[in-house]
Amino acid sequence: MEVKSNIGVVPEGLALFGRLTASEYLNFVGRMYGLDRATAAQRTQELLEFMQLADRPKTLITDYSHGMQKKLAMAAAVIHGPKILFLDEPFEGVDAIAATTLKAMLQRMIARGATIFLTSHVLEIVERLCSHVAIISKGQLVAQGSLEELRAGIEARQGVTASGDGKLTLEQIFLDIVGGSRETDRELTWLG
Amino acid sequence: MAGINQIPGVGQQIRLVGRLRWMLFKNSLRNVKGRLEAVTSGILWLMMAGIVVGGSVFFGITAYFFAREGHGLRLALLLWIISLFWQIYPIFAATVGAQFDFSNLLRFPLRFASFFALSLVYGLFDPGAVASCFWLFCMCIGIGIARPAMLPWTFIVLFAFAAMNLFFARMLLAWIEKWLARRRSREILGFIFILMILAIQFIGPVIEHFQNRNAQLHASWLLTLLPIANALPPGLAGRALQFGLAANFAYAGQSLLFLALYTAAFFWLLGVRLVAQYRGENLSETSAAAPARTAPSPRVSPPSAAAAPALSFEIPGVSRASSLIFEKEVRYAMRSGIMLLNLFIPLFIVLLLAFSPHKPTHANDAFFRHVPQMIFPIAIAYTLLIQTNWAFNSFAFESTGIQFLLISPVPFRDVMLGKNLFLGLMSLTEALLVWILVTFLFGPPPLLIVVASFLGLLYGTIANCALGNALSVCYPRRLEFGVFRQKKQAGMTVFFGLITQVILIGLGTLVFILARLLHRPALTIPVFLVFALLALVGYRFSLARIDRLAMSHRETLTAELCRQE
Repeated sequence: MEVKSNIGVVPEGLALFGRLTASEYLNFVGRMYGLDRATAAQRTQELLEFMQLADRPKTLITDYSHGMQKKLAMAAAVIHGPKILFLDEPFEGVDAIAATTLKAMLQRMIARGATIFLTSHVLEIVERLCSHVAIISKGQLVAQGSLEELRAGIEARQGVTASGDGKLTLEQIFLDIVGGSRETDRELTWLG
Repeated sequence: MAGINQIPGVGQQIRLVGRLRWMLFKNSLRNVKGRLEAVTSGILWLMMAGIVVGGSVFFGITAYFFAREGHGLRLALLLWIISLFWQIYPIFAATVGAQFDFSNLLRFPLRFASFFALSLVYGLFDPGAVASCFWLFCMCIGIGIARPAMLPWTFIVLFAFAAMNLFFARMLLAWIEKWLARRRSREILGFIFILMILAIQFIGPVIEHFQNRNAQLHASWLLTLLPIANALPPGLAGRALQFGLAANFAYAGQSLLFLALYTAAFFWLLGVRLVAQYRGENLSETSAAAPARTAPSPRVSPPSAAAAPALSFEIPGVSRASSLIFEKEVRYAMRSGIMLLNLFIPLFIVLLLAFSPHKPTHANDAFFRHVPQMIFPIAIAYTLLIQTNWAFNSFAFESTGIQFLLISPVPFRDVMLGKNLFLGLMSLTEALLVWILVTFLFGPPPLLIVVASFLGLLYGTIANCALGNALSVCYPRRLEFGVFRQKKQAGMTVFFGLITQVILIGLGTLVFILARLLHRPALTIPVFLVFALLALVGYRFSLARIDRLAMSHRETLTAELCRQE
């Protein structure tokens, strides 16, 4: 329970209760994490304003768009001020405005010393946001470290630099590590 | 489209879909849960088969006698029963197993003819349709035995009648699907639909009520309805048979022609909907619910009072988490008309008994002589029955919220306790409302019976929660508010729920009967108290293990409740 109290999670399904309003949901989550009534209410209001969700107080979560639901799930994950945050594909299906809001919030949390684990298949996002990267292939952790460490490891092994600015991109590092580049050589003869 | 020479024909496409359904079923048997589901579904199907066979005997023999005696018009009554069953069953009862939305197949290059044919095939294999077709076949045989010369004509009429029902059922579902595409309209219509179903229960008692008061009024009322009934498909089919029995084939043919016109109209209306679906009509909720985007405003306003929800519970003696779950359950119930309606169903039962002609005046009737006394325990037993909907599938409406319950720093037993407390409150409220209504309609029931009934409710509720908590965790089934065509409770839940209710209500009834036979009605109170204590022991045992059970079934819970429909 102590571990659970110190972490925040945004799972793939978003863990929302569709029949509550955003305000009710955040209050509920805050109090389930042990916040007192006044603090939960105050943080709820702040989070709703920050996520630009305060203008529809009576709308049920089930009627929110996917992007709004994602922002709300993110708000719920941080309402108790977790030290560690786990996010599953936080930017998938989120529009550019919402993504900017979410990124701003994550960067503020990082600046205040929180640790954030996020999974993503969009390597550009990972490259931009993360200080450390772990690559999982076929269920196995095949590489981990800072971007610079990974890059240096590959450059030292192969003696190559690929992108225009002279640095290997995360995508190139990833393909090199999991051996995905071989797939591009293959050809489907019947595909026009 | 390299390699594609031609799109498969209608028959081949239907065979492919049939094979797909078979593979889905076969793969569902790979795990123990799937196999148990299949066994329980099989048992339920056997029970359904019993009803179908019983109905067949009834319809076959009744049609035989009506045809032999020349009561052609009465055949229409049988056709009305079959038609209503055919139309209501798919909406109201649905099947226990997984529903397969065949419109998903539209992503493939399906011909419109295949799509249309698939819609009809699905309609034809609906349990309600299978039963109805079987009953019509038995009617055909019954009439054929009574009047062999009528067999070809009966076959034609009943075939047209079956086709009309098939097209009408599919057309109705297709249009309802369009109307119910929006959540709000779906829920409102769902609420109205259940009210209508309940109102139907009153037709018989009300007719008898008025019949006793004013036979003249009753007769004129029926006479007004008769021409309307005759102009509708079951009436037309009945008249076609009636005139056929009287060898008046000109009128019989006219009735059949009108029946065919109805069939054609339903066929056309079904076609209109299916064409729209085939062309890629999107009825999804999100397209309507897309919010207007606002410009980002980085400024954070000071907190306002609006953020604090007005409703708030602090239940003494239980943890804060249980109180919060209780509060959440109350909010959910307040926002679901159908859930709230459940609260009032026992009241309908009391009203039904109040309208019943077997009121206390019938002193010669051994059972109903005690109706005013027994109505209260009967309605309480009904309350217990209704509980199974919630107690045995507690997370039905939780959806992805279950993920939060699993990751939050709260023991799962607190979650279950909050849900059980809400169920207890709902049952207590129902019981109090029933007591008020019974007192108003029949006078106050004896105090002894009231106390015994409340204790019976207490023992039943605790027992339901003890077993229901475990079943809710092991066999969850996601349900949507106001959606009729969906998976109902899991087969295991239905099975255990049925057995539990038979045992609980059976035991309760036995206690009342024994106390009565022994002329010691007060005996019910200590017996129910002992039952309640035993149930409490079982409940504590179940609650103490629920955390471990939830942890071992967390994959099942999230997979079932978070899946996208």
